[in-house]
Amino acid sequence: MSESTSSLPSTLEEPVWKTILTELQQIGVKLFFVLVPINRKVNILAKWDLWGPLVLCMTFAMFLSFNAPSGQGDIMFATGFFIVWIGAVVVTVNAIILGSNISIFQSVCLLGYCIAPLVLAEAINTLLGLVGLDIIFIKLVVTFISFVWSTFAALSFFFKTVEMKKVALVLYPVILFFLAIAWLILVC
Amino acid sequence: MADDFDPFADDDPFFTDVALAPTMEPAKKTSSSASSPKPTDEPTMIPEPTQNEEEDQEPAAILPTAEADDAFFESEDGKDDDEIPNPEEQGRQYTITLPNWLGWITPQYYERFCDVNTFDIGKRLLAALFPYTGHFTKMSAANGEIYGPMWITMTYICLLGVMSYVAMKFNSVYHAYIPSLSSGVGDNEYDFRRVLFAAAVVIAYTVIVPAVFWIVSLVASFPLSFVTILDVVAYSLLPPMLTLPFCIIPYTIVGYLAWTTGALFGLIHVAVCIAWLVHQKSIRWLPALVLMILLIPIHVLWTFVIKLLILGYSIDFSVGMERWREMLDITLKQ
Repeated sequence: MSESTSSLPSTLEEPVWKTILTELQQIGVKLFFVLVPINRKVNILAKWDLWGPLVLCMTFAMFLSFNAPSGQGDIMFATGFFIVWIGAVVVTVNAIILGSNISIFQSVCLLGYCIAPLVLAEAINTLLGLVGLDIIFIKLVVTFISFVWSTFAALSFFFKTVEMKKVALVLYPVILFFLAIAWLILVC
Repeated sequence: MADDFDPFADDDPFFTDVALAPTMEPAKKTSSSASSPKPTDEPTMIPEPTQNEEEDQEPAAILPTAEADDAFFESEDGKDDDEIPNPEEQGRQYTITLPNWLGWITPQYYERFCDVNTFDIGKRLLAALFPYTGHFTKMSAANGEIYGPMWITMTYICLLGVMSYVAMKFNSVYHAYIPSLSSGVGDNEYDFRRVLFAAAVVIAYTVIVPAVFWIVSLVASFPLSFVTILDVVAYSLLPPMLTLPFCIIPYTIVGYLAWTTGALFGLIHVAVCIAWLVHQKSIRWLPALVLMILLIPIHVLWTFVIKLLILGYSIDFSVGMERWREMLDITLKQ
C-alpha cells in the first residue's frame, strides 16, 4: 500500500503495534498537511500511501450504508466505494492526459485524503439525525462547507500541475468528483 | 528464483532492442506545452517526477548489451558488477517500452484525443447548441476529442441525481403526485436505484449508439471516425441538460414541455451533424436517411425512460388546487 521502502529502515523486527502506530502517525501528518492550507510542500505527498484513503473511504461508505433509505444500504455502500476510488483514478488519468505531470498513486492519495472534510460532515449529519435534529438546512450548510473545504484543498495541488490554458479542464472534474460525494451525503 | 531472473534476456517480451541499447539516458521531465507530443509507434510510460533537478543532469548509465560478457563491464564507481543496479538508489528512472498492442493501456495513448484547451471546449459547447451552422461538425471532424463526451455525460448523470432528489422533495412538500413507476419504497424516500439505472441508460446511449453508427458507416463504405461520432452523440446531451431544471417543476404541462424541448433539440443536433458527416463522405443521401430513421426512435426512447425514471414526480393539478384551497381555508379560519 506504500511506495517502495528500500530506503527506509526495516520494520520486520519491531512490534506490530509500533508499526501500526507509525502508519497512523504518517496518516495524521498527511491529513494535516492536505487539509490545513499552510506551508504546502510537495515532498510529503511524494511518499504516497493508500492506507489513509482506504480508511476514509471505508468510513464514508459505512456511514452511507448506515444512513441509506430502507433496503438500499448495500447499494449505497458499493456506490460510495466505487465513486471514491474509480472517480479518483478517472480524475487523475484525465489530468495526465491533459499534460499534467503527476503520478497516478500520488494523485489518488491526495484525493483520498481530501474527502476527509466530507467524511466529517457525514459524521455530523449522522449525529444530528440520531439526536433528532435532522433538518435539511443544517445538513445543507454543513455539507456545503465541507465540500468547499475539500475542493479547495485538492484544487490548490492540481492548479500547479498543468498549463493555464488547460487548468479549467483539469479542475472541473475535481469539482464534479467532490460534488458527487457531497450529493451522496445529502441524499442519505 | 533470483538466479533464474535475467533482465537482459532476448526472449523477454517487455523489452525491445531499444531498451537493451548500451547507453540509456535518464528519463527527462515531461513539461506541459501548447502542443502535446505526437504519439509514437512505441508508447512509453511517463516516469515518476524527479524531486531533484541535479539528478537529471548526471551522466547516463552505461549498461551492457545482451551479448556482453559481465567480465568486461566496469562500473564508474568500481562496485561489484554482478549486482543489478537499483534505479532508485542511483536516483535515475528508466522508461519502460511496451509492445504496440499494449499501448492502449497507457494514458499517453489517449493524449491525441485530448488536444484541446478551455477555449476550444467552450467553442464546441456553444456550437453544439446551434448545429445547423455546421461549426460544431467541422471542429469535431478536424479534431475529435473525448474530454467533452466524457465529462458532459458525467455532468448529466450528476444533474439527474440532484434533480431527482429535488423532485422528490417537491413531492414530499406538496403531497400530491403522479408516480410513474412504483419502486416499492415509501413515497418520501429517495430511490437511489432509479439514478443508477438512469446512469446506465445514459452511458449506454453515449457509447453504444456511436459504436453502432460507426459500424454501419464501415459496412456501408463511408467510414466515419468513431471519436467524431462520439462527440456528436455526447454533445447532444447538452440541450436536455439545460432544460433539466425546468423538468422538475411540479406541474405536468411545464415538465413535459421542458422535457420535449430538450429532447427535440438534442435530436436535431445529432440528426444534422450525422447527416452532414455522412454527406461529406458519400454523395448519396440514403445512408444519412437510414441512420436518422434509426436514430429517432432510439433518442425518443432513452429520453422518455429518463423522464419516467427521474422526472416522474409531478402534481395532479386538480389535487393541487384542492390542497391549496384547504390550506387557504385553514389560514382564513385562524
